[in-house]
Amino acid sequence: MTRVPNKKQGEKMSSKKYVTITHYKEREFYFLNHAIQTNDGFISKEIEQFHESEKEKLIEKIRLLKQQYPLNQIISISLDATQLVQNKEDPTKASAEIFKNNYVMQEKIDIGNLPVTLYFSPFSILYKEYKHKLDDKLTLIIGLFDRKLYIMFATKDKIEQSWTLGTRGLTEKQVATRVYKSMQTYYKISHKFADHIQMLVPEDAPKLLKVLREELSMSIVLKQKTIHNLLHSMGADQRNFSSSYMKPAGRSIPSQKSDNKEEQAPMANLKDLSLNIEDTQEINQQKEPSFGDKLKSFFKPKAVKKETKIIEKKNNNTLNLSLFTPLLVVFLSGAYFTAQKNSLETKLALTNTQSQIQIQNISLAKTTQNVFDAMGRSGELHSATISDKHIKLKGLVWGIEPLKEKLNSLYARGNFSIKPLENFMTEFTFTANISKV
Amino acid sequence: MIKTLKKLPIVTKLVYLLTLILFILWVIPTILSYMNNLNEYKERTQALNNISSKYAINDETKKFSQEQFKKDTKKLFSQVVIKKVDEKNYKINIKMKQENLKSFNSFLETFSLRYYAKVTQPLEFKVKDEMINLTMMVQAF
Repeated sequence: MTRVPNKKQGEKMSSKKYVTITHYKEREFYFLNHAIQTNDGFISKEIEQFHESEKEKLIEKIRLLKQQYPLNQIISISLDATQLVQNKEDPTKASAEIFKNNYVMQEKIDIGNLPVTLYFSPFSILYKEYKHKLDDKLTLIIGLFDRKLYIMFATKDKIEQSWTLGTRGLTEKQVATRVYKSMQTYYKISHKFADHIQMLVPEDAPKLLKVLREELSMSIVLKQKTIHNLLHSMGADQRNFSSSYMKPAGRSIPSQKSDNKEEQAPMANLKDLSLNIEDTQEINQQKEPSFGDKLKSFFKPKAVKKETKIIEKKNNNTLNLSLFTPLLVVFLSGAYFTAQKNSLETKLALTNTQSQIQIQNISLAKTTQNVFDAMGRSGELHSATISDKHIKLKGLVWGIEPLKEKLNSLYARGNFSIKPLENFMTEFTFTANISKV
Repeated sequence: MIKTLKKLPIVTKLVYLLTLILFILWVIPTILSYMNNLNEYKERTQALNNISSKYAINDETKKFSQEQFKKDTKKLFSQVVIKKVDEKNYKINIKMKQENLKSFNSFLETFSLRYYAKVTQPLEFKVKDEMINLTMMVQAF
C-alpha cells in the first residue's frame, strides 16, 4: 500500500522522515538509493548495486526500506528509447503531462515486478531542470541517460520537438555529428535554430561535451547530476510530480483532473502493468512515424538500430545465454549416447558374427571327422570337398557294402557309386547334401 | 509454475520446447536402445567367454594376420603355407599327418574364438600316403 503525502506535506515530510527510494536499471545492473527529504533538501544515502540475477534481493531491499520508512515514494525512470513529446495525449499510450498541452508518451510501461509509485520520463526531468531558464527563444536541451541522448527543442510555451539518439558503439564525434544533423534537419522543417544549448549529463562525459561544443560551435551549459539525485529531486515536492509522473495507458488523462492537485494519487503499484516486448513491437509497426522517428531512422544505421534492440532485450532480461544450457546439455547427452550406441552396435554385430561362425565351424569339424572315421577299414579316401551343406568324396573301396552303409547312415540321401579300375581295385564316389536338423 | 512459463518470452519458450522434443524423441530412445544393446552384448560376450574357457583359450580374440596364424599353427601341423589373395582374403595350405586330423578339427572349432575371421567353405582335402593336404580360404573381418 502506497502512502501519499497529505495536504501539509511539505512540513510533515521532514518530521515524519519522508523518504524517496529510487532505482533504475542500466545494462545488467540495478541501482538503488534512498534519501531522507527535508525542508532544506534531501540527504542521499549510499547507492547500492544489484546484478539483474539478484532482482529478488533488490525487491526485498526495497521492501525493507518501505517498512523502515512508511512515508515514502518509490521512484524510477523510464529509459525507453521510443518516448516522444507531443501536443495531444493519446489515451492508448502511457503518458505524463510535462506541462500544459505537452505530453510525453511511450507505448507501454514495462517495469517487471519491481515496486514503483512514481515513474518519470527523462523529458519530464529535463523540463523540470530547465523550465526556469526557458523563454521565447528556442533552446536545445540534451540529457544523457543510459547511453541514450534525450533531445528536445523547447520554449517556455511549448516543446517543439523531441527525439532520442542511441550512443552505444558510437564515438563522441559520431554522436556530435548526429546531434548536428538532427538540428539541421529540424531547421529545414521549421526554419528555427536553437539559440543556446543546455545539457544534463548524469554521467561523466567531458569528451562528448567537448566534441559537441566543437561540432555545434555553440556554448553549452552543462549540468552534472546523478539519476538518483534527479529522481530524489523529482519526488521531493508533489508539485513536481503531481502530473509529470508517467501513467499507464487507459488511465484518466491529466487534463480531466480535479483542480485540487493534492487529491491526485501517484500510481499505487505498476507491477500489474508489465507488458511484453512483442506487443510493443507490434504497436510500433502499426503507428504512424513521427518526425522524431523519421529522424531516428534517417540517422541511425541499421547496426545501431539492431544494437538498440539488443539493449532493450537485455534490459528486459528476455535473452540469456543460460537459456541455451538445457538445450546444450540435451544435445551433448544425445550426441554422447548416439556415439556410444553406434559403437556398441558395431561390437554387438561382431560378437553375433563370431557366434554364428563358431557354430558353423563346429558343424564343419564334425562333418570332417565323420567322413574320415567312416572310411575305417572299408576304404581309403583320396579327395574330399567338405562344407556344412555338401560333401563330395572320392577314393578306393574294398568293403563296398560296409562303406556304403556307413556313409548312408551318416547322410541318408547321399549318392554312392562305384567304378572298377584296371588294377582290380574299385573306386567309389559319394556326394550328399547335408540337411540341417 | 505455469504462470512463470506464460511470462517467458517466445524465444525462451521455443528453445525449451525444442529441448523437450529432442529429449523425448532423441535422447530417451537412444539411451533405451543403448541399454538394451549393452545387456545383449554382455550376454553374448559372456557366452563366448564360456566357450573359450571350455577350449582353454585365455587370449582375447585377435585380428587375423598371416604372421600370427603361422606362429599359432606351426607346432600343430607339418607345413602351413598362407598367401594373401586380396585385402581380406587368404588362401591357406596345411599339410598334416592323417593322425593329426583331430588336432585340426579342434583348431577349426576354436578358429573364430582366436581370430576375427571366418573359414570360407568348402574345405578341400587331398589324401596321399597317410598325409592330408588341406586347402581352405579365410576371410578376415
